[in-house]
Amino acid sequence: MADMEMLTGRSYATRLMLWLALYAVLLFGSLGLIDRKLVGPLPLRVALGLSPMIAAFGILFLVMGRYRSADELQQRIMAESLMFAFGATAIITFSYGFLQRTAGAPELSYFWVWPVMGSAWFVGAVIARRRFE
Amino acid sequence: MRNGLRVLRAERRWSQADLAGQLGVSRQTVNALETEKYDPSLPLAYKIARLFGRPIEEIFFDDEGAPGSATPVRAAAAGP
Repeated sequence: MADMEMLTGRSYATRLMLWLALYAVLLFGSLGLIDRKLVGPLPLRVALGLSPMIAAFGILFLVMGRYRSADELQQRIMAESLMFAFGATAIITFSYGFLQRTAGAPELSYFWVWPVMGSAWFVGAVIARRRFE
Repeated sequence: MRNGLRVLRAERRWSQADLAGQLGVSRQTVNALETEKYDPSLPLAYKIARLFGRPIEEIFFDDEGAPGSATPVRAAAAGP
């Protein structure tokens, strides 16, 4: 089982790397085409601009598959860490929204939401894992 | 809940990874069960009981009095 576990982990990492590579190709490919004005019509620019999300969906289903194949304790740790990330992201983004209204905090890109949530997920995983060690 | 998992495993000279493999869980989960940081689901508890050939109440017990007529596997009985 230890070997199987490692293989599963390795195969997950390999698939994640492949999806991330596809994400990078689609991201830089689409941005390159749009920046060089090689693509004109708006619908095509929309489609190209969203194309990296194909890989993002791949990663989403990969992570969901990993959750489903995990054992009950691992599922619990994942669920608790995601719950922490969910709440922390809500608190942080709402706090910033209020600061924009009340204290003139500058406009920020929506791209910041994921780094906030990802970081909170990591912190949540550390906290949840420690509970069962 | 308390349990006698470590003792039962030691009696069979299995590593945590051996037991994890037979139960279809990760080694971390076996460790969390043995250190009593995590209580298994009923299906996993049944699987453990079946693997060791003992009733569930001999393997898992709480501190609220004696668990019926069963003799729990206590860690103190077999040493560390």
